[in-house]
Amino acid sequence: MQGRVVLNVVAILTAFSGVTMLVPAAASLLLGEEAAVHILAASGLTVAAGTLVYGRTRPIEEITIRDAFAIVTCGWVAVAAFGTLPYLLTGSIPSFTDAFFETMSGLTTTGSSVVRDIDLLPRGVVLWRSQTQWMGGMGIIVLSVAILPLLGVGGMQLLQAEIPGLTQDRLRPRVRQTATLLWVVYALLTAVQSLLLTVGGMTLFEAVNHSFTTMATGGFSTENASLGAFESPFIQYVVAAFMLLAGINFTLHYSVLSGNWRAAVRNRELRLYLAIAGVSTVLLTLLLYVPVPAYGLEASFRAGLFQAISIQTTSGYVTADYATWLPAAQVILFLLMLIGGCTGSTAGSVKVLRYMLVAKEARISLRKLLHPQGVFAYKVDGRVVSADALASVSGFLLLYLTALAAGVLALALFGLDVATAAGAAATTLGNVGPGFGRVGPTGTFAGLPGGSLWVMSFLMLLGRLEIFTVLILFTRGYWRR
Amino acid sequence: MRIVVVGAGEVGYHLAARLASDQHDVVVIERDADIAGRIQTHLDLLVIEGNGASLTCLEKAGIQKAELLLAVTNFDEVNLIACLIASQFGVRLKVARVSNPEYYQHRGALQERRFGADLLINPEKECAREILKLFHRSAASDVAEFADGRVVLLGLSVEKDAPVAGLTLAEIGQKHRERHFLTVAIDRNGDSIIPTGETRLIPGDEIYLVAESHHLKEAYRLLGLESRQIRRVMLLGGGRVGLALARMLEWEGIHPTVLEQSRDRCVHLAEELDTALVLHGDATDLDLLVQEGISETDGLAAVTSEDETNLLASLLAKHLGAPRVIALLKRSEYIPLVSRIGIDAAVSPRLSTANRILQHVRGGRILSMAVMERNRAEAMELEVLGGSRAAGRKVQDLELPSGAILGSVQRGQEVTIPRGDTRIEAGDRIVVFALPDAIEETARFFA
Repeated sequence: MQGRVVLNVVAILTAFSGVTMLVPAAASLLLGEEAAVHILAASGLTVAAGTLVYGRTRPIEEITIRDAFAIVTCGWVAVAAFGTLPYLLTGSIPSFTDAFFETMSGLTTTGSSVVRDIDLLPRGVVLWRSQTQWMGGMGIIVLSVAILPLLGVGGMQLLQAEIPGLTQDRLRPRVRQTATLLWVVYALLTAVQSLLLTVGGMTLFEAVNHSFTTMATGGFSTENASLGAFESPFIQYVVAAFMLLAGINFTLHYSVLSGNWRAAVRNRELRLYLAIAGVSTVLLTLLLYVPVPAYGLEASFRAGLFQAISIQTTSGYVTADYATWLPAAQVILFLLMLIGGCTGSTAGSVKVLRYMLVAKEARISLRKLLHPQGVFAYKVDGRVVSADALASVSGFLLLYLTALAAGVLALALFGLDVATAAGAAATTLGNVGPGFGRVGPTGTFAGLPGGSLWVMSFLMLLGRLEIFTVLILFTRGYWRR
Repeated sequence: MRIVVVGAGEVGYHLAARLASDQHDVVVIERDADIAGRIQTHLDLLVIEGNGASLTCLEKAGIQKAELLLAVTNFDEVNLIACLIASQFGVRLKVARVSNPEYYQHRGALQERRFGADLLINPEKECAREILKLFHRSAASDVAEFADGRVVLLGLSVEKDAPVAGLTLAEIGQKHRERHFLTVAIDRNGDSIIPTGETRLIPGDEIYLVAESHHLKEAYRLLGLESRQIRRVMLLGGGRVGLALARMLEWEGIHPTVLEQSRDRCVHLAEELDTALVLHGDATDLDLLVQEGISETDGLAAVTSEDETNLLASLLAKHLGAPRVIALLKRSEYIPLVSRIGIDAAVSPRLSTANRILQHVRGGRILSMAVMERNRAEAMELEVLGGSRAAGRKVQDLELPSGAILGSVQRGQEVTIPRGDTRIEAGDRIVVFALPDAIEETARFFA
């Protein structure tokens, strides 16, 4: 690993994130908030720090695979660390531990929050909070590669380390073009949603914030009661629809936008993803409607649909206090937390395609018992999945479960009760948002022991970068030449 | 007519020999000096040693004067380039052998031009198609379809307890007044004969019969045969033929078991096929064949690249109780052996390909034709022309060459199996069956 190269790129990323703080600063200024000055200061400090380090390090000539892993992981940590400044300087969140948790939760599109009362925060800070999710959703690196010319070299390595999904389709011959295209699709969908939400009765500020956090499958809201604060069924349906869209592979969005519907219709992962969402919606609707018919069928359906999609896409908005639902309904939500969206989407967790592949592997193992000399191929959408890719899926699943188990244990060591510890570990590792127990839909992460917040921050990063990229830095082989 | 054949491999050699014996001027271009030399000594034709895709070579072969180019080397690209060059010289018919599906399934611009070729032919696929036909016509050793599948020509055997065993054809005709099938040839003790009313059918005879497709059941019953649907199919060998066949079976909703010896090829097969079960193993591995339920198959085809393996594996399969076994044989010398050792049918890439190509060579009036695997007899479907000797005559007055027999007459949409008093009209489509010696004369008869 070339330490100076890593520092150099991380410095660029940091400075860049500082520039993006100008957006909430400007918004704050327009709204005439005092906080504008503080956010501006945060921006200045971040840019200065980045530039300072950049000037003292060697510019990139070539990024090796080793560097890429370090750059992405350190880049995310650095951006999260400096991202705390708007919270700290405005005094919105005074403790660094809490602020780091909040920023990491934002960047990783988790949406878990330590903020007890959002109404007390300056609007500029609220926008920064939503914006961290929007930037993290498609990826800081993807954004940087798309915008900054200096990251063209080795961009693909970085991209692969940041979105290690299984389908690495290059949409265009050049990395920059691919990254730009992804962001254009992303921004387009965000804009359309903002428009629809404004039509539905939200203010422009609310609409933009919610669109930021919907498309990122983040889940931060401008309201304490999350989406539940908006009674309008229209708004809830719009948000549900866009969460569902955000959970779909963006390559497919691009295909559809460029007129190729077939690619989407034929995509098996998409079909299964929609099937899971559909079945869980029906189940939740029944579990809500049958015991309490007075609630109304439409309302039950809307609550079931919204919550199923919100949790499966790892958004984490809430429109109802699911902690009061039947245990079976809560278990369904917990399971959805472990499934996640499609690969190549902004959703987190394990993702549908991995389960498909593991299921296929299991089926083939069974067939192999019957036909010991059989030779089988693993195919998805007619394309062959290599044995290496499969092994990495099994490995991922094992590591994911290990991380989950270790997380639950660590959180329990800090004194969290079983439901809270399990819910918090699953929700942070899967980048979902709300958990169960103390950190349920109506609770916040405020007041949890500081150590546990660091554990969860780490889990969020681990989940967002799909484990391998972070974990590799902790292997001996990585450091050995 | 001058014909240029590029490539003298399995297919090319056979075609060249066949066409030379039909009195055509054949020029063969072959790259391999040994093969070129061998052809020169065995066949009455001109051999040019060199690259079939080269302009100079083709010019030396007289491509300017040629009416026909058959590019049948093992290399798709050479064949296609040869066709491309030939099309510049205005050769009437250009045929290319192409194995890579990318070349014949191409879309758009390429589809129109086909690299200048008029016919793209894939021997492996032709073979696979033929095996599939044999699977569908149970008990048959040869299958050819005419008149859009409404008339079939089948090679079948007469079973011991068949209702017709021991009867003469005239007796059979009296007993079963409705005649939906006609025996056109009998193979007995290695000889092929065209039967008359006095010819007796004896068990063990291999007969060729022409029948209307929807009356086949009756023919089967009279011969003491059973007709069964295929569900479980096993293929020994996953080469090009095996893969093509497995794909066709998949399209029909049958999930074949494919046994292949090479591990790498197995992986390739598994990737290419969807529902088929691919097994890694030897085609003559008894244990494996039993384990995988060889006796429960409805059809088995031995399609490895080795004739000897195919013969041995077919024998083993028969021994293990497979009811219907078809072998792929490249060397036609082996084909007469097949029925004698109990294998149900054999298919060879040469003949399958020759069938397709010769049909085009013979020109427009032959609508389709088939060469029988076993005795090289040919069945031709042709249209009766107004001025020909046959038009307006009754069948009994036809005076067909000996060794030829009329199989069916189609007028409009109606198909009849002819009797002596059936009248042939101009515009009828007939199927005529001819033994090897009579083919030339028969073709002229209807001209």
